[in-house]
Amino acid sequence: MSIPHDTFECGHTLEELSQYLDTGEFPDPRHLETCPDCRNGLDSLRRLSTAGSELFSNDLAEAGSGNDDWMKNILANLKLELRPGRSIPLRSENAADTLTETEGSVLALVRSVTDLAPGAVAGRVRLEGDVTVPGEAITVNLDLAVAFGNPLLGSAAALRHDLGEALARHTELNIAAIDITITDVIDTPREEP
Amino acid sequence: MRDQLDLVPDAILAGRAADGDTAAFEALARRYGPHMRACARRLTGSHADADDVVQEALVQAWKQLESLREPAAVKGWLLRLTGSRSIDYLRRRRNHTSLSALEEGGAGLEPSATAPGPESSAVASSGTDALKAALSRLPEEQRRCWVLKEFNGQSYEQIAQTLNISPASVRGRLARARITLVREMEGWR
Amino acid sequence: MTVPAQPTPAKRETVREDVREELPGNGQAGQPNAEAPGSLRAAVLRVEGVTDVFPSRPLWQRLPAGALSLLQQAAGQRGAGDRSTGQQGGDPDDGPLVEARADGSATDVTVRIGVGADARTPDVVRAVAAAVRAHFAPAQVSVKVTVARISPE
Repeated sequence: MSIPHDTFECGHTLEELSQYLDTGEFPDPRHLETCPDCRNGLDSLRRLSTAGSELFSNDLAEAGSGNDDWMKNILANLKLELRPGRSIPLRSENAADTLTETEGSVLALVRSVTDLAPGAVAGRVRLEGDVTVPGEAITVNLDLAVAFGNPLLGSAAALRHDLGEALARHTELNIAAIDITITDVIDTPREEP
Repeated sequence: MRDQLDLVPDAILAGRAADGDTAAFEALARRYGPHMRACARRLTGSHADADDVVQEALVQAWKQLESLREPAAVKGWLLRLTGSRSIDYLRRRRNHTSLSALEEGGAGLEPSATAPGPESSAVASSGTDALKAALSRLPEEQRRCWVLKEFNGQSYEQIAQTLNISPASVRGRLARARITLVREMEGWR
Repeated sequence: MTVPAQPTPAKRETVREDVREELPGNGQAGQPNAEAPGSLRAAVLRVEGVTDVFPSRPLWQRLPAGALSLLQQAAGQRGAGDRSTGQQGGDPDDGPLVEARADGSATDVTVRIGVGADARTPDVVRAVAAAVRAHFAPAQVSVKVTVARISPE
């Protein structure tokens, strides 16, 4: 048995070694190089840590895949509130009517147009400005992830054009600018069917 | 590339989900659901409860996604939610158990996870089997600290928050858990 | 589905889509244009560019995850005329797809729709408002149309 007591003859404790493994903090780091008790203790804790990793790997494998039925059931049970966001007014021909589209529907439109661009995936989308007031200048802020190796410069301009067209078609917003920020690069596996 | 949401980095999915994209949220759930489930199973000791915990954690995640400041940190956040919901579950189960134990005039039932099961009675044939058996005999709050640390990679401060105790207590319990586990593991060696 | 037995405190009566009943504001019992709102839904779906008619409040605000896609699947599998919400059978949250409320003088009609990406949403919305108005003529109605989804399909 390498660990007869919680406190070694050198005066250090397993609790200190345990914390050292987690945080790298130890009152006297040089001592660890020379003290056989502490080194044995560390070895034991590291073996435990390895066994813990193995147990986690086993448990993770046993938990199954996120594409399995258990997750499908959970997703089907979730009652997620949709997020309509702000109400964006549309012109009406009759004063008695109230015509609107939800901000959520416009954000989804921006995402779907962006996702159609080759090698691009939309991230967060923001409509800056008061979209509830007709004619207010609105700036679209779009986070973008692009596939590694995708030529970006031309496609950003093309995407901006497509987005402008879609927003003109589906909203009456006064779009002042469309700002695209590339926030992530996606490593895509090589053509796997 | 919409059909490739499963390849998209966490931060992008979390941002979309915060904007209300249910498909992106479901991609995140598929990505980290197995980890959440594994953690909840070890913490609650029950497969059925673990799936309820995962579901509750996902509901909470959807509601609070907008408040997540760092979308890239969504994995750790989901696991912390899973840990917290698991602890809630154990507390509720304990209240329920001690109540029914009182009614029956018997001693409080141990949660199934701490009761010695087939895992501990079988001859430990490998390191992980020995560890499983030793884990199942640990005092409940030590085991919680150990699982939150080793399965979820939570810091002392995060574990302290989850368990509503001080970071110093976390350090102490974690050390005691490890000492006990090492002793039992050395027995196996 | 059942009709609420008592009027709401605001003296407004909710007319469910499947209840074949006069709109109180219409005042012409038995006339062909005094139709169930169920056919109002069909009238809305006939407008070019409308892809879906979604449940109106309060269900909308608590719509379960996946309900939108379920609705679309239901529409695809059973035909667009099927007014089943396709999920949560017997769920108390199930609301009418088109909500029409009348208080004796004017009728409010609320419609939540999905629009196809090839259409022009503002034009579609105005056409829906006109279709709703025509549906209830000669009764006067205020129409509230909300676009909840703009989709490529």
